[in-house]
Amino acid sequence: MPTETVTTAILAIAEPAPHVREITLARPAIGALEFLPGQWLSLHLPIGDHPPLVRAYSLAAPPNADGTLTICFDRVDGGLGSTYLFDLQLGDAVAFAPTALGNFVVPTDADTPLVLCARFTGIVPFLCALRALPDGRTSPVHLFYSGATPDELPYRAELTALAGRHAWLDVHFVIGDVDDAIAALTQAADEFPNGYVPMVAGVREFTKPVRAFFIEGGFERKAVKCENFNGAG
Amino acid sequence: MAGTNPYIKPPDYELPTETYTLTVRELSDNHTHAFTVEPDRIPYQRTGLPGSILDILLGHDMDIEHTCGGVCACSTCHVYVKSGITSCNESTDDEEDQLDEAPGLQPNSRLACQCVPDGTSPIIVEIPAWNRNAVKETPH
Repeated sequence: MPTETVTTAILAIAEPAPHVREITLARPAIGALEFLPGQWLSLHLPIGDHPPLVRAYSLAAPPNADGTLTICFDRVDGGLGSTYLFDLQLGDAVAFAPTALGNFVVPTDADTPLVLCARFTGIVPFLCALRALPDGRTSPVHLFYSGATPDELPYRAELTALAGRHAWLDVHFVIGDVDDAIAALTQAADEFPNGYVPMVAGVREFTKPVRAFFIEGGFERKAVKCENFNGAG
Repeated sequence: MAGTNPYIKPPDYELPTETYTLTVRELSDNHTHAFTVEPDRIPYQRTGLPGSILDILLGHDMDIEHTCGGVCACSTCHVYVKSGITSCNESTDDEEDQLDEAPGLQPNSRLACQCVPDGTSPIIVEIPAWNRNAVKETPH
């Protein structure tokens, strides 16, 4: 029995970095989906040996009045899903499960201090939250955002502008490998004692050592929220 | 989700070298299906770990829920391994984290996308009734 899906058209396509694509989908006919920053859509793509090919993509923009949905992803070498999505054009149809999914929900209340660690497109769930956080927020947010090259830091300009506008937001860009990212965290560790909520998103080879860093620093394992991206593409 | 993984390490599991039987019981209607798993056909398709229960079921056109695409980012492919669990790879911390969110958790609970039998014994799994055609995770 096929899983229920809804289908909408692509309204906009952007390229926030080379090999990275942002797609905005029209409001579904069933109405705007409710979701929280950090959740993702389960796309059902009409490809593969046994279609649909199901793939998950994080939502990049918070809920809005138009009910549009924005996802962002990178092209994975040999990845069926991302290759297919990269070839789609404005107006093409995309089917997905009619609910946002996932438990990696970024707190957007004013009182929870956050330390967010992202690598490459792991920034997407955090970007969604940062776009939603209110101007009057008081609790700090530290964002450590790393990529192997400057091209692996999509949305860098937007994040820089956000940090310039909000005193509560502190952004650290790190160009280098995972060890470099952890070194940057180590240097700033005194700024986020226990009581902060650490959240980590990216490939497992990033999330695992970063989570270990926080555990060594005194955080309980379950307190360090992780979203593992995978190379299935 | 999705993302380039330039650091992928070899998986920590063994694939079968001989055929074995995977029996699946759907608790929603008590239907039982039996599949002969052929090592040469692994991976059966492109979702879940190669040779995982999810890979095998989808490869036999048996559609069970897997909303994240089989990448251990949800718990919708939760199954119970009723027999043969010792021939399966051990669950990782990441899998355990996801199972923590699954309803009806049991000691023999696994994610079908991460559970890879090595083929040394027949496997019997049960699919919880709520799995079939039910996208119902809730944030917490």
